[in-house]
Amino acid sequence: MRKIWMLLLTLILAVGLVTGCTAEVAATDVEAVENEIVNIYTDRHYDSDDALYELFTEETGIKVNVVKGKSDELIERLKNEGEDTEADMIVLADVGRLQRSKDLDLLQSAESTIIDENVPENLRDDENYWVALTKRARVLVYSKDRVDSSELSSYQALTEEKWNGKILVRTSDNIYNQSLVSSFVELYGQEATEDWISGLVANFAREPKGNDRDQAKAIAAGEGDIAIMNTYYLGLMLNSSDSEEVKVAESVGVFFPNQDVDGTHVNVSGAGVVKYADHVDNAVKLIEFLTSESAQRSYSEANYEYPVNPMVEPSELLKSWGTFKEQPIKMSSIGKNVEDVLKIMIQNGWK
Amino acid sequence: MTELSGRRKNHNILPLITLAIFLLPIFTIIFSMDASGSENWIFFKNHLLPESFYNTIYLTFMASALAGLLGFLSAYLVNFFEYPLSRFFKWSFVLPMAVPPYIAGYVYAGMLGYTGNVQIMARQILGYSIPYQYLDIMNLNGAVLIYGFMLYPYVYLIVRSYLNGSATQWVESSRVLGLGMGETLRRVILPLSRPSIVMGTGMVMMEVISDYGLVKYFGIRTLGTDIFSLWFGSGDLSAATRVSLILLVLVISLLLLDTLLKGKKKYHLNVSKSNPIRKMKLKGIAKWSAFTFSIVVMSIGFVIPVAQLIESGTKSIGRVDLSALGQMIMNTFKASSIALVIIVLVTFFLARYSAREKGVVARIVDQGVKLGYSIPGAVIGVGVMILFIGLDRSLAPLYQWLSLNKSLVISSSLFVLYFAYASRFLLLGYNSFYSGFMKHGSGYFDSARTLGMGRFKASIKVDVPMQRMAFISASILIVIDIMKELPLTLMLRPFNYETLATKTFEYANDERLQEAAVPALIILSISVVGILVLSNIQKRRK
Amino acid sequence: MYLNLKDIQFSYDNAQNVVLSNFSVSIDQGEIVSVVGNSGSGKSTLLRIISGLEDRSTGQIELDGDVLQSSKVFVQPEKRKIGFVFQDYALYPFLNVRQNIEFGIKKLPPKERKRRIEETLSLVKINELEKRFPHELSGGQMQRVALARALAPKPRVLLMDEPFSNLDTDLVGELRLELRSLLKKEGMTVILVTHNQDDAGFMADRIIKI
Repeated sequence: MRKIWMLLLTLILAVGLVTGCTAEVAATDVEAVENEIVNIYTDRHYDSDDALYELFTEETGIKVNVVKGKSDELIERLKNEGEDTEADMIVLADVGRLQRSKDLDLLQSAESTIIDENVPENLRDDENYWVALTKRARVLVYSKDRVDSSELSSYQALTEEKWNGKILVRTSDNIYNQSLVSSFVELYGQEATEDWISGLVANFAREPKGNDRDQAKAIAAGEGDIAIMNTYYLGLMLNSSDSEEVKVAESVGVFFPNQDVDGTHVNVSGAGVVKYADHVDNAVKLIEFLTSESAQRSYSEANYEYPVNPMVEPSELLKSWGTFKEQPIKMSSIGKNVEDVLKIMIQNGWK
Repeated sequence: MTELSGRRKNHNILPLITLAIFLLPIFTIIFSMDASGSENWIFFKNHLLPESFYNTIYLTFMASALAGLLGFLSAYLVNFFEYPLSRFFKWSFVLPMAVPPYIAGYVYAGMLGYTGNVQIMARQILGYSIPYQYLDIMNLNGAVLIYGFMLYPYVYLIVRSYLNGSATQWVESSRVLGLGMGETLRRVILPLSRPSIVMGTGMVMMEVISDYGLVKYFGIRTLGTDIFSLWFGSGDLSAATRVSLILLVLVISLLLLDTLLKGKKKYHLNVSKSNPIRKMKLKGIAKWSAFTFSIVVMSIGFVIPVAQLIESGTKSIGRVDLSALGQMIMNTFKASSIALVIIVLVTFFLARYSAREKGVVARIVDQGVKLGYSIPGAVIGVGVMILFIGLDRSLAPLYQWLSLNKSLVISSSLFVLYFAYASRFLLLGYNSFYSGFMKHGSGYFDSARTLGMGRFKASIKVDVPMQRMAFISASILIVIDIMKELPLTLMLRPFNYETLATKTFEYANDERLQEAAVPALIILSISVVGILVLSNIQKRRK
Repeated sequence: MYLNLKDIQFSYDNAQNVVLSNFSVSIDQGEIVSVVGNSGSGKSTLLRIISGLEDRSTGQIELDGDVLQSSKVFVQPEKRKIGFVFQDYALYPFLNVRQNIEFGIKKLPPKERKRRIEETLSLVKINELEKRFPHELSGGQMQRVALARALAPKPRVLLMDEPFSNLDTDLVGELRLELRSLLKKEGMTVILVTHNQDDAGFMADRIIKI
């Protein structure tokens, strides 16, 4: 019996070593061309992003290795790996997460005059720990049949009596909502924000659920009249292969709120160079490339996001929705509050 | 007189050590918990925990009750009656197993949503918009329905194989004692099936507790999703660990409940020949209700989701990178074969041990193996990661001495993922082998021993060949489950590593349900083939 | 005659494999008949046909003036009032001895039911075993319980399938005599199937070979 167990343990060990080593061989293959690679962790899962990386490899000869995951998981992974990480660059959705990565000491400053030229200051971290790659506006989407755009004005006006049972939005654990609320805390203070949340919750058409697209569909279904959602989802729906989604998207209008006051809430997806990166130069080069005019055009045209590079015009579709004024705050200041925001939201009834 | 006997050996330690190795990720999580409740935890406990706890319990019990009902009824019908297509249903009732609940969730939410086929048809044909409330499936009861209809085959399979194998005489004797089929169902078949129903619903419970994909997509807060949001959303490992512990306690109580409900007595009949039961031909209303029940269960559980996936898949296939899919299939098979080797080696001996020894240690092994399968994959994933990074850190001097110029040798390799799979799916191998050993008893092994073979030789010569079928079914189950696995793979995969499940999840998560249909369909087809082979094996065994 | 079987024909799904062909027999009330034959000769199938557990046979069966089976009629097993002692006894593992015996007479009023249980318990001499579960019984005890359970509803005919095959040989001699006198005392009509000529000779008033 003992022999069996010993054999067993030896076998497990052997299997472990064999698999471990094959993985090791694969890794050293990559290692051999060390200067030619950049490893990134990314929360952007779009095929158009992969195309951009290929283009980058073509132009520079630097191979891009990608791990895709959700932002929060990637941050946790980076945290655990510490200085042993293989990641050189991390791409995250939402400024709150970019800021958290910086606070957790996971990033380093990426100094590059090209990046400084490509991206305006308010879309970068003060110390260049992270750089925005794309912008998304969180707008009001309304039923063209039941709502006249003249009735709409601001996020704050959504708490008015007449919208009772009309407002649609996803759950509070969604980071886009958290950032929106965070910008409120920054602009108007916590008390005003809490009042706004409880007023908004009182007007909800249903318990928050589903994703951004579902909010637009709920408008088409007549469940509510106004949804808070990101612009690029509507762009994706308008260009969907599903003709019914297109119909839904065509039945709703886009309204940029708070134009008469301060501006519409804008969020970003962005990248940062990992603190313990082995290929810092390549990572910086990749960020330079991704903020360059050609890459920025691709983001806007393939994925309907707003470019961060002021030299690039938004795609035709985005332009058709009109231009707008953004909230007058620094991205980094939104990121600071995110930790407490979820609590405020839940305490005031936003599920 | 010559001394024949050697020393008496104590073989209780090695099984425990082996088991412990695979439970290490769970221990890691328990021990990395710190005592002070953080601010996050207190907030969470007061505001969110009650709802999550309620949802988890509600989903677990309601879903397993529904699955138990559907599974028992379907097994009962095909085992005792003949009605239109009953032979077809007999094998096709297992098919919903091939549809992971999260995929079913995407499909049904899509179908019943405003832009889904159901509402489109209503609008176009009836010229009428169905009020959204009636079609809303993205809620607790919707999740119960999906779990119930996708997971009932766990109950069906166990109950059917039990009824088919040993219930014949008991049922027949009830008939000649003057009980009709209805009364026989209540007084004989139900009590006889109780242990198998409990076992099957127990597996459903574990599946429900472990699931992350469906509840996440439906926006239902459960203890499982809380672990994710506390850990990753708030970066609060200690709060997440506390929730994991609550879940752990819940799972262990369910396992205990399971043992309790199964009762002490093992209903084993030593039948010299077990006649297949004479099936009764149903007539009239009974016939058509049985038929309708079967059609409805099959349609909801399999036909409708598959048809919908095929429709979406053909629409979107042009936008999916097909060559990448080939690589994903390869990845899946490589990962499953390696995990399989580990699982088979370990569970063959663990099962053999606990089937033959029956002591306290055997009981510990028995329950321990179940743990990995009941703990949500995400929890094991993080446990594994902490564990191996720690191991790499302590091995750093060795790596330096070997002049490897990296420090995360093990934790950045695929081995971590394989190990995680193995500790998560140990139970699948264990169950197959355990029932194999229970079935054959130790007679063959003992007779080989009396023929002069040592323990080791007897085991290789006798036990291994006798477990051939158990090995095949274990392999199929493991490959299917690894192919569907989501949270572990998402967390632990290295650079450029995709599986069909991660791709499906990615597409669905990016709100691209049509594209998600393509990898989902591949998962489904492979699972269907595996499941059919599996039920064929079980038939041949009879 | 009490029990009449006429032209019983039986084959499994494939028509080649004919197990019984044109089998006819008549049995008197109170008669004990042994059916003897090699394995595969269809003797167990015969019992299943008589009890109604096998519905693929043709031919006519009459019991005490009732037609149980003909080309037009098929009476379900639960309506035939025929007792059956299975080869493996088929005692319910989740019921104790008393509950097993009670199983077939649940429809009797409680008082009568209780009396009938006591009667059968003492008839087969297992009063002291009533609280035990089947897995706590020996082979001989299990057989007695199975017999008691089959007799409790007062069946019109008792069918026994290889009643001694699972018992120790030294027990069988004594048991055969006891069983025969017990069945005679009850005036039971019995068809007993066995492959053992000795058993058949000791037990039966008449032996039928098939």
